[in-house]
Parts: sequence; C-alpha cells; structure tokens
Amino acid sequence: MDTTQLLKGVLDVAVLAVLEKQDSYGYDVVRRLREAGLDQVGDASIYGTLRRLYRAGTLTSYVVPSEEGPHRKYYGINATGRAVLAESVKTWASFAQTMNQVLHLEREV
Amino acid sequence: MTESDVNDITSYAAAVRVALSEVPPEEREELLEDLENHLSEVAAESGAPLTQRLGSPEDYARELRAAYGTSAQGSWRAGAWQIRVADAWSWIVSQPIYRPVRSFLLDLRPGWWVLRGYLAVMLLWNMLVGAPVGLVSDPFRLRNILWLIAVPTVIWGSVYLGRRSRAFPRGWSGVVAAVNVVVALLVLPGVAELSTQVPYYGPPQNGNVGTVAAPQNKDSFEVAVALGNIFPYSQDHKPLNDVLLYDQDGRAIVLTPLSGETEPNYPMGADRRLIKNIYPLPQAASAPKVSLMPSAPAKASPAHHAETLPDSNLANNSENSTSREERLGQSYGITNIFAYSKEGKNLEGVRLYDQDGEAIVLDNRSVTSGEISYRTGPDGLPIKNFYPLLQQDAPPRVAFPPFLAPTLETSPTK
Repeated sequence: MDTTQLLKGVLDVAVLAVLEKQDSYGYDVVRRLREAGLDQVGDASIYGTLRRLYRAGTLTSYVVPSEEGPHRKYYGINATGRAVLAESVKTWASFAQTMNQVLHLEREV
Repeated sequence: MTESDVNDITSYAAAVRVALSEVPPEEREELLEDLENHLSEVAAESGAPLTQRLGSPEDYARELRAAYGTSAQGSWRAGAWQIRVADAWSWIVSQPIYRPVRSFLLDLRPGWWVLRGYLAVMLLWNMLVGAPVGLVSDPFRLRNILWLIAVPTVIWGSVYLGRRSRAFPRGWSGVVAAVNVVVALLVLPGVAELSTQVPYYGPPQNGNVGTVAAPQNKDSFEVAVALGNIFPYSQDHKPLNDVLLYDQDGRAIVLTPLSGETEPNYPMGADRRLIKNIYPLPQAASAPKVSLMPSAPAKASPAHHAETLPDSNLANNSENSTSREERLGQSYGITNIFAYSKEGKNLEGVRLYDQDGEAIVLDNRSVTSGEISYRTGPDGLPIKNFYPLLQQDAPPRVAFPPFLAPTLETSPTK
C-alpha cells in the first residue's frame, strides 16, 4: 500500500502534535516530522496542511524577525487545536487498535 | 546562498505561481505566503537543485493545493468550467425539489428500460433494413416476424442491463449513459415523425413529411370522394395512366370505395405508404365502362388547342351527371383539381371521367366559397371537366411536391 495516501489522512494530527510540543515555522515542522520518521510526506503537503489548519482556526500565527534569513512565520496551537488534537488522538488510537486486530498484530503492539 | 540558488528559487516560485493561476486570488495569496521562505530553506540545506528535492513546480502546486483542500483534490486539476459545473450541480442538489424529482425519475426507470429497448430495435431496423416500421407492424410477413422476435428480446436485454446497472464498474456506467443518450437523440425525432405520419395516406413524399404539412385545410391531408374510379384523359383524348390528383389546397383526392367493392390494390411508394390518389385506380373487380369515352373524343380534332377543343357532347354529358358532381364539390370543398404525372410534373389540360364515362365536374352551385370558371369550347359552351379549371393559375397554393420514387408502380417486396 502506498504510504503517502495513508499518511495524508493523519497528517493533520501529526502537524498538530508537533506544534503542541513547541511553536514552529513551516520548514521546522517539515524537519521535525522527517526526524520523527514521516519522510515520505512532501514539503508542499505539510505547508498546505499548515495553511488549512490555520484557516480552520486551530492555529495561531506570528512573525519572528530573523537575522541571517527571511522573517519566519511561526505557528502555535490554540485551544481549538488542542481539542481537535485530543479528539483525533482518541480516534486514531481506537482505529489503530482495530486495524491491529484486523491484521492480527495484537502481539506486536 | 549562491546566485544560482537565487535564480533557481525565483524560477521555481514563478512556475508554482503559474500552476496555481486558477486558484481564486485570496486562496492563492494564502498558499504562496511562505513559498520563497520554504524554497530558500531547502536551498540552504543542500546544494542540489530544487526540483530534485521537491519535484516539479507543478507537482508542488498540486500537492500544496490538495493538502490545503481547495476544490481540486490533487488527482486532477479542475479548470474554471469544471468548478462552475460542480458548483451548479451542488446548487441543484441542494434544492428542496431535487429529492422528490429524483425519486420520481428513479421510479420511472423500468419504463425507460422498456422504451429504450424498443427504440433501439427501431434504430437498428431503420439502419439495417432501411425502411421505417410503424409502431405496430403487419405480423404476416417474414421480416415482421423477425421484428416481433427482436422487440421482446432487446427489451428483455435492456431491462436486464438496467437492473444490473448498479453492479457495473464506474467506467461502464458512463458507457451505458452515453448509449442511452445516443438512442434517445437518434430515435425520438423519428418517433415524433412517425406520429405525424400516422393520419396521412396521401401522395408519397419520399419520407419528407414536413413539406406536406402545409395544406391550408388543416383538418386533413386528403379528400375522400365517393366515386368508383377516375379516368384521366389527355387533351388529345388519350387515356392517361398514373396521374396523381390533388385539390386546390394540395390535398390528395382519394376515393372511398363504393359499397360492395373491395379496396383497390393501391401501389406503394418508396416510403412504403400506399399511394391512394393515383388514377385510374387498379380495380380488379370492375372494369370501367368507358364505352362513351372513345366515341365522344373521336369527334374532336386532335390538332385543336385546348381552349378551342370542340366538346359540346361531353359537356352535355356532364350535365347529365351534375347531381353527383355537385355533391362532389359541395361535400368536400373541392374548387379545383390538379393533376401530376408520377414523375412529379404538373399536367395541364387533363379531362376527368368517372367509371361510367361521365365527366367529373365541379360547378358554382357546388362550392360554398371560391369561384368556378371553365374553359370554353369553340361553340361557346364550357368544357366542365377540363382541369385545372381556369380560376386558379398557379398549381396548388401549397408547397406540395409530389416527388415520387422511381419504383413507384411496383411495391418493393422482400
């Protein structure tokens, strides 16, 4: 199965989770997701997801001047975002459990 | 960051903007806000060209847009018109009337399955056999037996397909829809034409019914007259065959069989309709008693011009039978008669007699409107059965082209 398609569905949760730990700008989010192992998601997908989450009202944003490069637009999670994330985590956990059962992977969990 | 990096970033960003040109401006601004920042971060990280890390600018734009969740889902790029169609459709679906109408149409589907099967047979029949078939066809001919087998078979197939249509894979339902549309578009005009043809038994029209629909007297295309037969003669008193007769309005003049007589063997036109106004009618039973005919014209000089035809005898003869002829005009509203050859040529100076050899006459007492004026012979007496009558110069006021197929006289049999 194409992991890219699979990842797209959970990208919202992943981005929210990254921002819950720490406010971050676009490319930093890309980098942190990569480090966490989500290296098959395209940069543009992550940037697009950030924009959409912001438009949906789950993120705050502010600009931080930078000395060596361009000014960076930072994103942070707000109350709405936290609620969405909590809900998504629950959904994901139960979904993952169901999938593990379906695929007979219980022992490995 | 090197200068080539900057150039790379500029051209990549420009290409992404172009690829997003269809996105509404507001959304596009939001999407592209961080683009240059992103590209310079990527460039700073490694010296490799941007396309190597990020893919083509078009892919980047598609991915960005898909993740952002604009109307395009990333698998295809929606053009402006596609978005408009989608908007229009969602508007229709949102209307309160949509659901009842949709369920009503769904209820009608079995009816459509039957109808389209029937229409498909009609379509194929017309293409393969080349002849139009009525809504109900004569079951006593071999080809029509085939028709009777084909109709239920194809209808069964159509209903079977319809009932199973939900099981079809996506691509197939599109094909079925396309076939439905083709059948409907090709055949429905034919059905409409059939329905206009049904009451019409006039002259053959090579299937071109539209021009026949012109008679001013809209209630019928033909005038049925109670006479046994009509025998046309030329100016020089030779019997004519295959003469088509029409009245002043272009209506076909058709005789109703006299009581006790069987229907004549009308010839069939190329369009497979009977030609009922072609004279003399082929009468199997009654041989015309035209004994009067050869004798009377024999007195005439063939060299005479039409207007100077000496024909007092016949004129007098016609007087003897006016009682019948009067009724002819009065009952049917005929004020003039026009004759055509089967090649469609307008014939001037045709004399008409009935099966008893009596002149067929229209006179002023017999018509409620219009005026009758006869040509006069040299003796000053009118020649009353000499057609067309004088009062009307132009052959039928209606566009009434008696186009006839070459194989008129024999009914094409298979």
